[in-house]
Amino acid sequence: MPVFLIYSLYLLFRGHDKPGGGFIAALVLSIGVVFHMIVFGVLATQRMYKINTMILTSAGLLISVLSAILPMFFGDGFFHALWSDIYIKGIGTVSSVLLFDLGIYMAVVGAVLKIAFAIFEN
Amino acid sequence: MVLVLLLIFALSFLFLFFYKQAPRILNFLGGLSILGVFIYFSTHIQAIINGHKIIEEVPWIPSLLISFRFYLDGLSLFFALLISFFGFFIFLYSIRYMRGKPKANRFFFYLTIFFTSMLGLVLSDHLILLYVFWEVTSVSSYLLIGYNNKKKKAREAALKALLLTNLGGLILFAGLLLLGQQYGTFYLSIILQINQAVVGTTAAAFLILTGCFTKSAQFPFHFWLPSAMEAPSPVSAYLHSATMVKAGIFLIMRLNPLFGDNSLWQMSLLFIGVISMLLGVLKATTVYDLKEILAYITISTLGLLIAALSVGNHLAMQGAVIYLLAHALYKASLFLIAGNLDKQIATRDLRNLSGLFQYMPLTGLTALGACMALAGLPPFLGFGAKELLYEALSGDNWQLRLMLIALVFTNAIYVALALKFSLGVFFGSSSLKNEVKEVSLIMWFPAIVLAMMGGVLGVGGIYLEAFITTISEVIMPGSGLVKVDLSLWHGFNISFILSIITWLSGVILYFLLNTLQGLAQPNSFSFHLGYQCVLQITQRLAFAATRFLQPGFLTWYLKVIFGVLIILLAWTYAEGGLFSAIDFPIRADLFPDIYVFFPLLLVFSGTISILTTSSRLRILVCLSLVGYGIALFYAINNAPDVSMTQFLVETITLVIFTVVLNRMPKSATFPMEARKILIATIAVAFGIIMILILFSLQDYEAAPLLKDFYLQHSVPEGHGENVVNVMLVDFRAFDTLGEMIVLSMTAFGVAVLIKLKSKEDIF
Repeated sequence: MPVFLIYSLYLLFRGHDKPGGGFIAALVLSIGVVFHMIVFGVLATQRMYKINTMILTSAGLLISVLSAILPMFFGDGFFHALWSDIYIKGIGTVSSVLLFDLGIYMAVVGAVLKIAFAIFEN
Repeated sequence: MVLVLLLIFALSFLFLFFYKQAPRILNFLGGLSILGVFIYFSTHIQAIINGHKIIEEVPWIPSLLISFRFYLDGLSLFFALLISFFGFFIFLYSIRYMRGKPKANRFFFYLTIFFTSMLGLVLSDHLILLYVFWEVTSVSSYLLIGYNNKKKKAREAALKALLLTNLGGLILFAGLLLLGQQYGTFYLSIILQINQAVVGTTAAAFLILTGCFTKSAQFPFHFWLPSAMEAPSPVSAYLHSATMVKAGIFLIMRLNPLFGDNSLWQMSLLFIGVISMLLGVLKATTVYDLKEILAYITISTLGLLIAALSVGNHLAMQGAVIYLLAHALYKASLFLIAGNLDKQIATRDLRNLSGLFQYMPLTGLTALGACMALAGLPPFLGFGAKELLYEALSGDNWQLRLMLIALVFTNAIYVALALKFSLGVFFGSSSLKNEVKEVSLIMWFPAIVLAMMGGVLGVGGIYLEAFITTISEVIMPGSGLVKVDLSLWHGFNISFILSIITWLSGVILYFLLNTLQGLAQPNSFSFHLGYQCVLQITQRLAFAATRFLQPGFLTWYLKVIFGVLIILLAWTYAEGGLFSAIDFPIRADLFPDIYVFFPLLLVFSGTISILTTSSRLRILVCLSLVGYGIALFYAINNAPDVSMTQFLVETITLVIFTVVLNRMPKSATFPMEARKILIATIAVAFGIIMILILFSLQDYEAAPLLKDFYLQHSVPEGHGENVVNVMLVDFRAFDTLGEMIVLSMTAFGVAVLIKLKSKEDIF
């Protein structure tokens, strides 16, 4: 599992320049969790990772919308990309676009896992 | 103005989130801000009387020319003052009325949202903005009526109000759009400046009028108002007597300069107004619930105001404005009294209430004052307003005669009802066994202030004269400022004689009503019944249609979807003559390498195994094989992102499907021969169509242009080298957001459906 998590984060952050991105990263992580579920059972997975899919999805959506609204406070239009000068090694330049990608990541993980949990619980 | 609205809007969210934690602070803050709004608008009175007009504008959707543009003139200022003045006292009252209720935070949230939108409605200068605020008031009214959401009656009443006012709202919207189109601008102030008949506005006028009638509870839409009495009393006082139901009247007044001369407009105002006026007052004599009586009186008074607006002279306009103010004052305080009684005695049935004066002297005093205003006795404002209207109607044609008779009759019944409400409830022998206490200060204070304001303004009417004159000039411009005479004593003239007739017949009617009580039955033909019929038919139809279109079989859905697609695509091709345009080019560059054949082999073998096997698991695995083959194909053709996504989606689908497969019923029937042929036909036809599309897309010129655009702009503007990702999160970010929302909704829906299904079989 840690491998899946780290690899998915890696994909998330490098996504802007090389193959990867929020959606792909989210799928990688989801596959990891789903495998865990198959091996140990749903309850064990839920107990171990304590993921609240509802909150995760909503938070993801909220972050994405925020990243879209944020530029409006700086006088730009809805979804105008903002880029800062901060460059973090391994993550890349901090920007509203990265925030948006993070939102996608969280929302997709939440949505996929919500369905998976529901199916496996049944 | 914009700032004021924004502040109040922000305040409403404070109420929603923090009211439970800090009610005292928020009570204080809320009261202060609403009072502040009132004071803010009061400071403009002098400027407006002097003839100034204030416009404030903040852009909203510049590309559609929609902006937050607000317009303050006599009429909107009058309504803004009315809304904030009543808002303050209703707020004070609600603090105590709502204390300790579990959902008080929501109540105050809805109330402040309503306050904001109602202010916005009267102030907005843009027709679309006005419509938006109009609908927000409907929605907040819905939420407030249904505040007791555990009570079935309250929910039904709320839905009824929402459906009717929204129906009207949509009709109004059509009317406003038409009006804007005809005048070429959506700015009210500009339309009013043009102020001349434009061809084709009669239709707009009628649509708008219908909207106004639903909002102001006029015949034949009136029946939502009595049901809306399920709302807490302060809400009835504020929304359903003082402000929201006046929105229709506001709009009619606002548009009077445009349509006032139209005889059809005048006729419909007159007839609908008079019918509602009489209907309301007659129904009021047949019910026993205090609040319901008040609701019917409100319908009747609103009808009276609308009828008065049809007259088309200054006297009538001024009378209508003053009557509106007087009505708001006494009716709101009567509603608050009903709330007090409900709170202390837990009944609003007229038959169980009598002799309460000794227990609740202050409430009784208030009731006396408010009822005097209702009966139109001096020195209350209701008296002056009624006199003005009588005077305005003493003309010499049949419309005025008809209205005058109806008005005298209506007012006589008002007198009788006022007697019933004051004498009947507060005097006579008490039938109560237990001691009843007077309500606390914060509950009797607003009621008594509102009731006494009617008297104060009645005596000091001369101070209102300048303002009322300004308002009537807005409603009916062009003939110079006609001064209104608001002194209490007009002399012994025809109006005064009519007033005396009204009072005397009112008293006689009161005694008649008392003896006739019980005989008056609610008539059998009910609008409510008609409404329920329509509602049920709609529901049945919807259910049948859903059953037909959505039988619940996945195979059926797929057949319909693909079938429709095939038909539409084939049609498009046939019409555009595209069949002939395709020259089936076998281009060498389509097969660049020999590796392409490996994924193709995968896809083909997968497809063939699917067709020849009957095991579900094998079908599933083979489907994934096809998917992986396609993913490989992407990878070879320089699309790593798409390929990765395809791989991952295939994997997760396979895993989840395997689990689901386990749980599917074993006995699910496999298609019979006839169905197999149908499915095969659909599949082959769809495949052919898709191939055709692909061939024609090759010659499509826009694609390379688009590709080049993204390739060139990705690094400088999107700051990323991965074009696919830059497209997703930057250039087409709004689409992505939409997809995310859809995905999340689907996830929640699927999860809920699965959980429901596991709990019990819902169908």
